[in-house]
Amino acid sequence: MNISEKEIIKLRDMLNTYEEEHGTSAGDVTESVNCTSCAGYCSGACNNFCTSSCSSYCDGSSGSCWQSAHR
Amino acid sequence: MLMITYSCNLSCSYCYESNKSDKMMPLNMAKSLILKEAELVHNSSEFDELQIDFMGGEPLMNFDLIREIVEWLGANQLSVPFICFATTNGTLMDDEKMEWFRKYRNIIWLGLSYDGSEYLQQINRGVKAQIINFDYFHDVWPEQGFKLTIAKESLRSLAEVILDSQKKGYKIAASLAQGIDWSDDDAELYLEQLSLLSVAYLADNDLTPINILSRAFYEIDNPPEHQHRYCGSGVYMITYDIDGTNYGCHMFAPIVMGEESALEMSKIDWMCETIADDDRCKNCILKSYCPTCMGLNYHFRGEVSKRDFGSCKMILAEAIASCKFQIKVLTTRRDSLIKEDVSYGRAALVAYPLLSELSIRNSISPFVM
Repeated sequence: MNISEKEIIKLRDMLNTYEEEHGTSAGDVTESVNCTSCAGYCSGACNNFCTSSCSSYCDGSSGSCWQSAHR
Repeated sequence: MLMITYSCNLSCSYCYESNKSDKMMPLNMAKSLILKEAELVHNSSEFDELQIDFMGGEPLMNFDLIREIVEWLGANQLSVPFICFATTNGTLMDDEKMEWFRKYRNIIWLGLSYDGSEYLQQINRGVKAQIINFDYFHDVWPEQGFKLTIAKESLRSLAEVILDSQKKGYKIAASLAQGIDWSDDDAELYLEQLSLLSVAYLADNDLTPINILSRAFYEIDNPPEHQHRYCGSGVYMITYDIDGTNYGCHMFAPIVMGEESALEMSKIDWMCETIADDDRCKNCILKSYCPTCMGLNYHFRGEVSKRDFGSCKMILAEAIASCKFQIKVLTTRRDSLIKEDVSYGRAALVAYPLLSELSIRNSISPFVM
């Protein structure tokens, strides 16, 4: 699967437009949804997995969750 | 985490618990440890709930203790919110247990660990998948994902296995088996399979992309001085062994390390900010993206910070596939972007040109630009 320059530009434009329209800076990913269920201890990389419904998507190191982005 | 049994009914090919036995945690000890931890949470400003993990071995080998504890908790609420959890291979469930777990499903969740197909279940675990009632687990705990460990033997059919499971409605969380000497061929195959998954997800919005394609690329162009922790061992999580001795996690306990090498909780400074720093990786662009398990590091390499260089190419394959997928999928969301998408998109756009410079065959870890 390849990414074209056109797709890069398209995504960059989309992100810029979003930020202009919402008057907000995207910030960094650690500002995204806080995972409340696993207290940031689930990583999806660990050999255990936690009880939370977001266990598949939780990135424990940042306490953030990718789930909402794929809702 | 309570190590309630050292016993397991299976011998999985990738199992790292090499000191299994018939030892069990006494019921009274389990109860007193739970009360002690509940009291700590009750008096803490940092924690507001208690998760009680029953761990083994195979936890259901000590089902009697699980039943006693859960019914006791059901009749005598703790002073703090709590949930019980156990990871199981699912092969010991019978009608009686299924009925009991269904009754207490609001108190205890079970997470099923399996290998994804009849063939893999047989060669990795030596057990037939047909004896596991997948629909039962999905029906009773629909929000709980199944755990799939990716072994060498799994690679060739990885996409097919994951998609088949997801199309049945099962949530899947996958992770690489540890301590494996992955080859470049393995990494290329992994990349190929992840690409197949990406194409499938892009074609079908009803499928939820698997976790291994969904991790964020934060700080890739500016790795932090100190490695992020990837788990709460010793901080958010404490493991009590069958005799009550405490460890940061089960990986440090005798069931994994043996009696002589087991490393008690008090012998590590868990709050030390350099605890996970591996100097060899300090300039690697995948330093923050790459997961590191302190327990496995200690088990296989004798130091909690010393990462598994045998999996670098697999992590690179994952990063390349994930980055491309995240860019592709976000470009389809012109009218439905949310703030988190923007964060992830920005990170992926930063990562993409760096990852484009790397290849499975020609790059050498650590990956330094």
